[in-house]
Amino acid sequence: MPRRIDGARWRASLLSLLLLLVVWEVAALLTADPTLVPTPQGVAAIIWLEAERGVLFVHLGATLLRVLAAFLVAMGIGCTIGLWLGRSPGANRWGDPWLVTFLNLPALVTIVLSYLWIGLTEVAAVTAVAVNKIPLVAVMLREGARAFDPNLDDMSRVFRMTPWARLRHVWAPQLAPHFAAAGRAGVSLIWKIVLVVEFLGRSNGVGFQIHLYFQQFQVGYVLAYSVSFIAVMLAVEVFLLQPWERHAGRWRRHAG
Amino acid sequence: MPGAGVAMRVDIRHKSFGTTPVLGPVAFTVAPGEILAVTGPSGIGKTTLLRIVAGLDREFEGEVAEVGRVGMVFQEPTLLPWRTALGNLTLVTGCGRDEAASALEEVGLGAYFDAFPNTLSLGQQRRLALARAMVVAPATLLLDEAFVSLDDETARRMRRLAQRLLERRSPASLLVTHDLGEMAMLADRVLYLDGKPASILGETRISGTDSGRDEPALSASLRSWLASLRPAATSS
Repeated sequence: MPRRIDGARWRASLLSLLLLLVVWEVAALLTADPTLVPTPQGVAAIIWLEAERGVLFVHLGATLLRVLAAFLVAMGIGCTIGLWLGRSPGANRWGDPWLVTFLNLPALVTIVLSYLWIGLTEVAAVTAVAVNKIPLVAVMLREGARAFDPNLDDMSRVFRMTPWARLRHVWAPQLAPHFAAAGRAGVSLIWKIVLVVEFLGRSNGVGFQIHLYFQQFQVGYVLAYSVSFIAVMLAVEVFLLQPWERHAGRWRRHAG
Repeated sequence: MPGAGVAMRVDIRHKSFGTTPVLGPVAFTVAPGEILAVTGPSGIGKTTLLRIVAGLDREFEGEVAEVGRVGMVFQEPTLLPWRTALGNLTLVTGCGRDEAASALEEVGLGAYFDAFPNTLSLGQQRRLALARAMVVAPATLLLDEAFVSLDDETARRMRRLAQRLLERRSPASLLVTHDLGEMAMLADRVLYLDGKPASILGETRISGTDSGRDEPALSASLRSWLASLRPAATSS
């Protein structure tokens, strides 16, 4: 039964993607100017060319590494802050205004300031992205930490669970849905900001390539790199995030 | 009946939430192997008393001593839904796998090592919670209406199970309950808490060995004893 539902969902997803390609194709035909709106097959040919030359993977890899680094830093620091603010009302009174300030700081400002203060380095790039993302993770995890079951807290205290055991077996599973949501929102936000960071001050990565071809007015190449990276991020979603969520939520489905 | 060892001592002089007094002077001791039942109207502060003894609430005037390792069965089973039955014992109490396994066998959950709690019935969940409390070999066992919302037959089986486990390990036990049958079957002494703030308004000792008790007669005499303490109200 679940398999059939899955199958139906896959078919719907594929069809809807196909429809997107058709819309693109029609738009390209109507424009009739491949330098402005290249056809999907034209873009596919460029992706193939870049892949054969190997440059595609160099830039995809560079961007992916930055996404990963910024993601880990942002999740690590964001979760710590969120957990702390969610558990301690005193800390939250002081921390909340900071959080709101940083939440409303435009990504561009963080990036520019980070490059100005740290220099045009890898550290500056990752820092800029992470700083953009940390407040969002913290807010989402704070909500999770506030909703902790007080009975389980009592239980873990009575049975003298160690802080580590408590974190792993009592808090982390309660945070998992919030963690997954923050992670998902994180990945999609981070990779978009990483492109801007690369656009403004890096010499490799998808963002750098887009900058390059933007200056040369090569729409086909801009689209080729964008589409490739979207494909990579979709693969991360389908093959990493979704299976992990299923694994973490397996205890729920046994009910009944 | 009470075995060797030091009795658990509770001497609460005052406990309030904000400006609302909850507990007045409440003092008693429970010897190892002894089962003290605490009863009284709902919301009178019985759970607060247990939380103080468990060390969960330290904001009170008075002293609680010789509690040792605590095992507690809460009103709700309070299990980790994302861990298996076995994990709920080993990960929470730090006991070994073998110990946990035999504790599960003891409460009749030998076939459910890898079951997640939400696949178990309420009775099974409560037995799992009981196993968790016993596996730490507690010096003090706290039972907070641990057998409520079970059907009569299941509740009776659970009480008998609890009785067996208690006889074997002899912790000092504190049993919060409204159920006369439960007191008649398990308790050595019963305290009645009432008033605002609550204090001990009555205490009675239940004689007779555990196996040779005339439970219906004991229930009846407990009922009239409680009625004499609380003329306006009736108990179930």
